[in-house]
Amino acid sequence: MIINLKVNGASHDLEVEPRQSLADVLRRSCGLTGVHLGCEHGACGACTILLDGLPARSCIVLAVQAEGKEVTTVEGLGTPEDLHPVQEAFSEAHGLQCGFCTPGFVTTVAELAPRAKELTDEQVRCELSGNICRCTGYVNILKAVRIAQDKLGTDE
Amino acid sequence: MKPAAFDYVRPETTAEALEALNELGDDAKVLAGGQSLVPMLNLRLARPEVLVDISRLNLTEFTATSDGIRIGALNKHRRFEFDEEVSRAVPLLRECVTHIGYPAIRNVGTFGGSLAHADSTAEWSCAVLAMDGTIQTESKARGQREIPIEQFLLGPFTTALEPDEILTSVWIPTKGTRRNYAFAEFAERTGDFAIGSTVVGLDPVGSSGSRVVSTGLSGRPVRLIAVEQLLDEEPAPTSQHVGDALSGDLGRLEIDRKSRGHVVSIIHSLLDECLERLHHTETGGKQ
Repeated sequence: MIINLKVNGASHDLEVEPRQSLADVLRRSCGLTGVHLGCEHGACGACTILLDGLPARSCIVLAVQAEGKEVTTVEGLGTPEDLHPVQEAFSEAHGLQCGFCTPGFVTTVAELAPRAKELTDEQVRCELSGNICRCTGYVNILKAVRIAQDKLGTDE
Repeated sequence: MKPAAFDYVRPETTAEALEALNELGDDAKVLAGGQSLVPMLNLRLARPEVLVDISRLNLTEFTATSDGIRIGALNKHRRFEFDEEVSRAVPLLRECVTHIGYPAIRNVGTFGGSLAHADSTAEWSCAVLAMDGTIQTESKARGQREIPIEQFLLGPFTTALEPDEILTSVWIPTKGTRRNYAFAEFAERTGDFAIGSTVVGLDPVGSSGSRVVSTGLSGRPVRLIAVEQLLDEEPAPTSQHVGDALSGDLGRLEIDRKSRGHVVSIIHSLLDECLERLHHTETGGKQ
């Protein structure tokens, strides 16, 4: 079936099967391989994108479900030439090593950081509990959130 | 890790959805947020012929009156976390909601979807049983049904919902009850499926009986009647007395202490935790 997806501000008419996940359609039909597949059942968070501005698991949302909604992937947040403040924060805090979980964290933190000032470290950890990282031990990811929160505060 | 093929329809109205389910019957599965169903499709634990996507239906009401609260099935879990009007009206649901999966799940998953899925340790199932809720369903063939929650939740992933029915809303009665509730859950990691959970509801004035509900002891949430009777006589019992009453309920429910011992001790701890919080709140002043 043909569906229309709005991804990173662009409109795409795509031929999809109903059973295809949003993640697979973004990766294969839109070329957005910043969307990573880890567990494909919603537990690891590597596939996290923003759906109408809120973090959602693209591996357990069917592409057909996303029709009519705004999809934002990490590619829509920043580019190597023009990093999003959250990406800058992760770089400064050394909040990544292999980078596999990172796009999922960046989209999640893009929504979280503007409201993180009100949250304790414990609460930030709870907000990030759905994003799993095997490399970093999370300490620098938490630092990245705090750096991002300050960057996004001063930009306003 | 990819689903088997299926067809997909997305009705715009409840009438269209019920018409589709009436025609398709057993071949169809209702899709709301999909946060429980789609992982099952990915793992091929479910292989429906057709998905009927009801996410665009107008079932997101939240109406509080002096008699009770009507909650539309398609309200996302997120609403119970961030909507202040909702939190004030049903604080128990606000307390439970942060235990449901992760924020990304709560942004998409729905209240009614969770109840219809009936995971045996689901937070909403536990809370709605504690609040004596009623499930409203609708089908083309039989119209609307009102099903008390204890007759709706039958076992793991098993409810009274017929294949041609949609769960449309939940009714929470509030008239004549002034219970304060506490919820506690144990999971091995933040966001994991719960091993077990408890809700304890105490009426500070004592006009309505207490409510004690637990998940994890059986395939669906159960009321711990002996613990309720204890609390009706002694609202602040010792942990020992709570344990004794719990043993009475285990006997009645025919739960074998030997094989479920670790869950039983977790439930006992959760009951103690709920009671401590309820009494601490009461003595510390109203929230």
